[in-house]
Amino acid sequence: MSGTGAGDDTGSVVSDADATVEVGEPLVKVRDLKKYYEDDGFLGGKPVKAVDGVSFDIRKGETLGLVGESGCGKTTLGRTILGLESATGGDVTSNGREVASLSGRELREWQRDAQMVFQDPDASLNDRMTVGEIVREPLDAHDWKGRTERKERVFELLDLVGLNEEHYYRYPHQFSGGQRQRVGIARALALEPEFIVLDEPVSALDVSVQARVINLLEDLQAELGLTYLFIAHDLSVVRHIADRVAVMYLGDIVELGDTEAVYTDPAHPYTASLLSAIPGSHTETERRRITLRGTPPSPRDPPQGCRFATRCPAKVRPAEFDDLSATAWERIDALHTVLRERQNAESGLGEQLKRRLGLAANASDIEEVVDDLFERDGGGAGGGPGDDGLLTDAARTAVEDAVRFARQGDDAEATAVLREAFGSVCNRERPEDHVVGDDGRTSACVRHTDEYDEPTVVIDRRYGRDDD
Amino acid sequence: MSTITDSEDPAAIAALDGTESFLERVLAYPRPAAVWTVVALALFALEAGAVAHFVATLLVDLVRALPGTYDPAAFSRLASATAQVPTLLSRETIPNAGYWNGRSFVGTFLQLPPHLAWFLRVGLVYVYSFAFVAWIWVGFDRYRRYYRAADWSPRDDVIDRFRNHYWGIFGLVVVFMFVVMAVFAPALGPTTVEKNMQNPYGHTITHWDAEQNEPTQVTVGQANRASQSRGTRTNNVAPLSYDQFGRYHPFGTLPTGRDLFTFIAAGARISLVIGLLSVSLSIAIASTLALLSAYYKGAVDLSFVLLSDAVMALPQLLLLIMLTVVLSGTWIGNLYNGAFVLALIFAGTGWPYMWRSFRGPALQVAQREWVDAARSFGQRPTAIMRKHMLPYITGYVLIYGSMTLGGAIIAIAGLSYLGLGVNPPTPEWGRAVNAGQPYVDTVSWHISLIPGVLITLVVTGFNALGDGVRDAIDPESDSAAGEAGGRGGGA
Ligand code: SF4
Repeated sequence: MSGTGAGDDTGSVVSDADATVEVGEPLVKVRDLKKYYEDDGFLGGKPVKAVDGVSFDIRKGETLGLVGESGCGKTTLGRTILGLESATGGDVTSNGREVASLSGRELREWQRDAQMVFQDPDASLNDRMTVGEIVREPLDAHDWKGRTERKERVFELLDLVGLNEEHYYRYPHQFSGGQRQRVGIARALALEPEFIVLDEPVSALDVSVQARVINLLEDLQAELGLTYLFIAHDLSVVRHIADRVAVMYLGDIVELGDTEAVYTDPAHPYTASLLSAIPGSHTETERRRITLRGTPPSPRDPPQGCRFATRCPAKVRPAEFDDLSATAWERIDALHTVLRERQNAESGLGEQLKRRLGLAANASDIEEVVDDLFERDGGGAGGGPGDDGLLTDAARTAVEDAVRFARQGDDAEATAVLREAFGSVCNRERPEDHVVGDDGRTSACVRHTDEYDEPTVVIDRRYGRDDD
Repeated sequence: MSTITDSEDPAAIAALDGTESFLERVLAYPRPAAVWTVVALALFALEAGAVAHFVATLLVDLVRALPGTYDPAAFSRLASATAQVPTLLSRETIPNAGYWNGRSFVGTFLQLPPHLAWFLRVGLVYVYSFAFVAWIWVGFDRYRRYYRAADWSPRDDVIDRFRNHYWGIFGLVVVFMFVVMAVFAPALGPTTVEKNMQNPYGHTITHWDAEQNEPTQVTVGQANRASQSRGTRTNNVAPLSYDQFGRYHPFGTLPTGRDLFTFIAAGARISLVIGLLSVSLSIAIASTLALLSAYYKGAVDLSFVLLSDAVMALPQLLLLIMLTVVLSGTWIGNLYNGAFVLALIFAGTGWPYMWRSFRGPALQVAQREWVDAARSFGQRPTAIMRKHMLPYITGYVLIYGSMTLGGAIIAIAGLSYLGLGVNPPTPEWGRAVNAGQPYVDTVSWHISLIPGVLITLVVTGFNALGDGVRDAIDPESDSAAGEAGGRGGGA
């Protein structure tokens, strides 16, 4: 389709609202978009940073895939672009309209041009309305023409998505999942939108039905010149349908580029890890399978610096610890994660009080963890991490320090000690987007600067290739 | 899920492809609709005069109720004109008030004994009412079978479930009989409130004087005085008996000698009016606020929480007593014998309880994705609340409405038992219970017991109806999960 070769559009300007956007030009521009959810609790607490400063363009006529693990903020991003959530900061512009700050009539106008197809057709269709009423509702809401024209239009739409006129008076209960999703698609098409956010539109469907719905979406795009933002966690579906793909991690877009380029040669360590998690894919990239360790940190308290630093297989390491083994790093990272989690754990008032008073509440837990991680020989409270050659002296001292603070219940200090000792530029700076490759692909990793080796090189070095 | 079955004219139905309007479908196969309409009109014609009279008197009352208005002469004339229209179920068509002239009954229907004439009239009223409802059901069924474009709708399942819910049907029947009693109150009583209670000395009756062996005239007031029920064998008119003036008393008489059945029928009307008015006002307030709460959440919700807490903190009984005293004598205090103010107070203090029950389900619906979907294509908030949220709390509205109505009837009875509420001498069930209290363990037990049993029965009926509706709407909620009215938060 389109999109390739358009280059980096960041500088181009679409001046006024009436300008029709050419195919391949940015239709929707997202700049530094933020969406935070404030906590309702009385104790305040930090906001959940669901989307934390993302910038990208969606080009007219393209399908932009948006992938990431669940909870990375991709659905929130889609909803914020549509104005379903009010943005905490940043802009979304389309045809010169500032979507994020729209309200009232203008917001309704935007919501006419931009539609959404929801993940679960069971939940997104009101089951007390007939299919006809459901598909007609957007027309009613926008006072589109007259009664008979609306009915005609609904028949036309039902036909377009592969349903019959006689389905008009049926209720959603009487349909299969795939048919229901077709109803949802018909509803989204009713107002002739330019842009549709597809929020995991097939993930709730049977595998056998998925392909047919995907094909329908592709046909509709070709026929009606639609622009899609396709949100999914299923990477193979995205590869099939998307022209370009954006990879999201913890509220941030880490890599964005043409689908094939991203899939065959991922630039960002997260993309590489994600792709290697697809069964069978590591043979294609000739890379050993990199396991994505643990789960993403809470978006309430994302890591400073690079969001991916807690799990990154290519993380920059301080020079003095360069000789530590991969296993050692894994253990240290694990300890770091445990401490961070302890620190952030929602603890009751009693727990907090104990901490204030310096009473170690979970001292025994940390002992166990350290025992497990560093195979200490159970030498009691005084014993340090074992000296089986896993850690160097300097590393052991740092770990011991951290464990001591943790034992006293001061997880914050313990985390700080570890970060101080083993941290690097990855823990300090939030990486900028770097252009990689020659097709305008961007990747947010410090390793794309000249100072450091490229992520792929490092991953190969650390984890090796299958056949060398 | 059923499809069109046993259509009488499959060809006509088959010609339709499910896309026509209702009218087109009727024209394609008009017979069932035509038959139904003719019968419905015939049924209605029997009572058309009464309906017209009812509307006219309502207008008169309405105009009178407005403060500082003129005499509604035009409406009064209309009202008396409509009163002349003969109707099947009026006391004029089937009179029961006559007398024995030594050889036969004079003035009763077909010269039947008064009690038979009365039974005939009451029987006809109920037969007519049930026939009317049955015919409406037939109409719905025909609509569903021949004219509705949708083969099946979720409501069909609800109705089917209710039809198999015997406890709910029992409730429905009891409630329906109560409503019929209220609606036909003037036609049901052996005598009228005006003659028997409000102006007994302005009316006379004729009766057979056994001593003089000839019909004699006496005022109703005098007759009442001689037919009191005061707990002694000589001073008692028991249920289903005549007094010495040849008047038939199906439920016996009050201690004042007035007819208990007439009193109860008229009281049913007052109870139903207050109950319906207060409950529908409560529902309107509570469901609106619940929808707003659930849709906007946050500050809006919080302000309603505070408001409802404030209202719930008011001492309801004290407020009632105060307002009754303050408003007595004013136009609003006199509206419908004080019933209107009572309904307002009930509604004004009762809505927070309902709001609390509706808020949980409303919040749950607001979380549903179709609400989001509607917002995503720019549907207006009011339309979202009406189309996508309200239908999902109507079930709760019906359940709580039904149960609260039962509660309101008890409350009204309780208040008049205490001598509050509806102004005497307007008939009210609670007052009858009160009046009969000294005689419960005597031969005049009927004065307290009959209205007491009726109150219990009606309230049980409303609760049963609520149970039935709940189970029909939400089949998962078995009786264990939902003790009466205790389902506020969950769904
Ligand atoms: S900046 Fe690059 S190397 Fe460093 S943690 Fe992030 S992704 Fe890994």
